Amino acid sequence: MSFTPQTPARVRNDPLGPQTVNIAQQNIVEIDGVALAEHLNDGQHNAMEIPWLLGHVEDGATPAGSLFNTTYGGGTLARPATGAYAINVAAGVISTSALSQLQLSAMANVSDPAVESKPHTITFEAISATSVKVRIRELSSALGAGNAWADANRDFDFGLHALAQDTDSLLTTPLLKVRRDTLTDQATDWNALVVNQGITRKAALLEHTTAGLHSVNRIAKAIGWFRPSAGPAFSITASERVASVTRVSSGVVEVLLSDDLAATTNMACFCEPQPASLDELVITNGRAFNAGAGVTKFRFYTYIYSGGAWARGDRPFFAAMFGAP
Amino acid sequence: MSYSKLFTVCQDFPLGLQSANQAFDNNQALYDLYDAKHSFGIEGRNTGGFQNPFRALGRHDDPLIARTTARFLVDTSTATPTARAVVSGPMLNLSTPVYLGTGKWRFFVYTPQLFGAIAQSEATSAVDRKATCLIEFNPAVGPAVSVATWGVSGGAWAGTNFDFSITLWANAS
Repeated sequence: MSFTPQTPARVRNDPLGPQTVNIAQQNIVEIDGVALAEHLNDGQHNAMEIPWLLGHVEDGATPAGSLFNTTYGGGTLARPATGAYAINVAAGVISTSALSQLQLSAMANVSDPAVESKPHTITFEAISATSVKVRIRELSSALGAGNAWADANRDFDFGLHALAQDTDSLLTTPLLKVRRDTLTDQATDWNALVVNQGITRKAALLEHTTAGLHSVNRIAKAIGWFRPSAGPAFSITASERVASVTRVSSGVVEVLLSDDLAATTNMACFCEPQPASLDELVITNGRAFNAGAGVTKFRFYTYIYSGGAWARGDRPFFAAMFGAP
Repeated sequence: MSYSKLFTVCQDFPLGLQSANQAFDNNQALYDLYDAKHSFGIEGRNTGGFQNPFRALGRHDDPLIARTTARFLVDTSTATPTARAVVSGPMLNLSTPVYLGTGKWRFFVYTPQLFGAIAQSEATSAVDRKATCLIEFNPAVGPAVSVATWGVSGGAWAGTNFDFSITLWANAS
């Protein structure tokens, strides 16, 4: 695909008239228009459906976060009570308007090694324009023996969605040429084109590769739908950038990402099981597994509530997996 | 096309064809970059001349990016509770939720290819809460996402009304 109208390459003795230059100027403005629809003028993605802040939190004496988008001023973490975490966002990341706070939606997942043996729940609460509270609970009963829950300090992943921000174009307004103008009689015209191209490219490469692929931790590296199949085994229903899926054991599934993804130790995921019906409660937690150099794997653990107790079980599930670019 | 940084000029500086052609190539390189995962508003026009709203100018066209996210505030003050979406990221995809019973909602989805959905529960004082979702297909109206919101009552999980978020993934085409 290309612009309409296009600017064909010129060869010796071809005329280079004002319309050609004007079209080139208009084309870069068109690209800028495309970019600013869902990006800030510095290149950051600017859309409600893309998390403004996404992180993996390691619990410890002091909870530590990674994958924070530092271009939004990062954030700080606190753990005021067992199983309770406060994600404090730098001022200005989320608008202080009440409506903007109401629009704050989220995704959250408990990604601690403890999910390998027990189901966990995680809830969020928008406190203010700069603070979100997260609560984590773990099944304290043994599997198959009850439904008691307790607060628990755990590693977790979170993504916060907020209202898109206003942004203005940074492009220099070009002076369009007319008949008898020379190309550089006013230094702003050719220079405006050159400068505008530079501005546009710099912004584009902030969160994209030169090929146009997204290169930012707030956009998933892989997604997939996975379902139980005969064996027992697991199969990929549909996916993007997933290499394979393996059923490790009942309720435990391993997803290997495509080989061309850069290995990373900072990984997060969000997952949703597909219950057999709306009357069935199923919990799936996911976590990076053996994350390290050369490994991009996630494991997902599914628990089914039945008869007042929890047990491992296989259910289809959807997962979105994130990592540092 | 490959991109090559050009130079600014002062008055009377001669510019040759190579420079002009490189400028055109630079534009095309930037076009190709954004065209990879964004819409230029050209694709998706059907014979009726209507623009596919999911392919509007500048919209992301990458299955790795969620298509919609919305927060729903549940109002239980009326005989039949309602869940109202706070205005949020593209709401073209979801119908007004239908109340199915305590802690149960159904949304009909208008996005061309529903890929996945994630529900997230909110909590204030009561923290034993879990929101789940089920993707269904109704031959009469198309794909739907049903959400169940669960809370613990009397030691057991049961349908409970509370606020929740939902995030959908879908392909534009």
